[in-house]
Amino acid sequence: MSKTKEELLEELSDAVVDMDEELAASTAKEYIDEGYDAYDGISEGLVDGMNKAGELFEEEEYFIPELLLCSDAMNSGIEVLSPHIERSRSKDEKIVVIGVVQGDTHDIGKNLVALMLEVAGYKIVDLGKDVPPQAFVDKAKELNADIIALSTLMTTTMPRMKEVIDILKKENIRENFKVIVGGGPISQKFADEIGADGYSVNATASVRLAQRIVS
Amino acid sequence: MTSKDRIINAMKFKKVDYIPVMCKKRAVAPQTIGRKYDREFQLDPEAMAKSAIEIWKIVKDDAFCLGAGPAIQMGLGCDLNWPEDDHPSLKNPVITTKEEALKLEVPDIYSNEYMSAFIEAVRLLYKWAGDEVPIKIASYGIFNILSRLLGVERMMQWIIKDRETIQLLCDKINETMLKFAKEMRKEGALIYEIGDAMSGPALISPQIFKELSVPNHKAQIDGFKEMGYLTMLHVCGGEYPVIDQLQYTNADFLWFSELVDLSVAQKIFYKRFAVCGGVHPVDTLFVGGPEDVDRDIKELISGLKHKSGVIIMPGCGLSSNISIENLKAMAQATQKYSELAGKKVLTINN
Repeated sequence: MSKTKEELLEELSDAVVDMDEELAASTAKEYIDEGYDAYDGISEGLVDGMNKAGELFEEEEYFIPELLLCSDAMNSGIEVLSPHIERSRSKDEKIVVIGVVQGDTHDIGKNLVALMLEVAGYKIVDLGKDVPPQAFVDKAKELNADIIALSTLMTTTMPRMKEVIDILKKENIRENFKVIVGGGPISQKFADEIGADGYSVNATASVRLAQRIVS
Repeated sequence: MTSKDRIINAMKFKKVDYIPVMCKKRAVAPQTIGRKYDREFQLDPEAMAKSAIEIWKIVKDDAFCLGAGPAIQMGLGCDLNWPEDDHPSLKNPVITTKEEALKLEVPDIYSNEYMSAFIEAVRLLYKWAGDEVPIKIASYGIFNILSRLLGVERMMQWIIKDRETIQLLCDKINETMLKFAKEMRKEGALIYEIGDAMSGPALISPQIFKELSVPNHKAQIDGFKEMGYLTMLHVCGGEYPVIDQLQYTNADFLWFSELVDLSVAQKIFYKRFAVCGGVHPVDTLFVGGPEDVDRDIKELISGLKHKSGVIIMPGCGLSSNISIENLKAMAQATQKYSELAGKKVLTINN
């Protein structure tokens, strides 16, 4: 007997929360075979599961390993559904340019922030790690981004964050972008000192921060 | 009282003249001889030993510090990114499959240029400086090393999906570290400090910490203690969720991040395990100046109930851009304000 769209959306969500890649993929196939809308399958099924995983992370039931495996499950479902998407992206979609600053190669925190922001509906342009300050500015200008998100785990590379802001000021485009910062040694105090628009303590908090500063 | 006696007395909760202090200065040390904390420095035993002495002459804390992390990683074949003047970081994982994990070999210590250079550095340091001020080996722990072999994401995924391979790798890393530590101990090293944020609550759950981190840390720490080391363990990331479990690692000193109130940790563990930490590595030592350091140390020590059973340390490792003047101020302030420990007037509320 065919399952309803709602039943399958719930199964997709549960597969993500349960970190089950195979189930997420097989359920996604079943969902598409039933003729249901692929975009809804992602946004209301898989992403719903990832949001629940994010809540479990906030509640300290899930930690980094669990979050990564939930992400793997979500992505295995997206791989099945995304070729069937017909809708184009919303014109109101906010763009985030994100990366680890120059000199630093620690990227797990940045990757998790990018994941949670993407799940929340932001278009993510990930510049990777060891990114020169000018590269952040150039990409943000090119794409007319909304947010520049900077990450570092080392005190020696913290000054690169201020350099990004200084470049924006020098080019008289500081007001065009919101700049948010995060990482192990970073604090609200540091964010205020360098003139950043916000500081996020972890990946899930970054979503609330982004929503607040671009609303 | 020598620094060595001061530290041993602190560990045993015996009387100390002042609270011992260790400033975590290995990345800052090369500046004192006109060098940088880079790849070449890790291959230069004389530079490592000389700079350890020179920085100590300025800071005057209670240990010489040499950093063994890079040597261990290079000995195991890690592919590292070497900044101009800072701790190396992961460039590319070298183990991506179970088959590759099975092939990981315990290195021959003296055949590896980094490990043999480091042992020579310990030998020279002990020869030049003696043992009144102990030599502390600052090292990454098993899980930090594991993350450098696998990459952090793969390590996190395998911790849940392939615990067998993770344990196999932990065993090989531990065997390597014990072999290396034995040679360093022969040359005069006394304290072994394990920094292992990858095993801690910033990343993994307390349940996985109990199942995986604790037994591996204990196996390693027991091995170090059999060699005669005094052992320190740091799991970083705000240790309250696992604070009940740290005792089972059997470390002599539990070194806490700045996210844990050292006075609370001291109360919990007094007369059982000595505690270390208390100084904010960023807000105090990086952003602040000597007067801020002095003020923060005074406040920290004023909150402690006991003068013994504690070492004042930064809450985590320090980069090369920490001011030497701040480290000097940290040591001086600890010595100056030690008598304030236990002097706080108790009220109903505390």
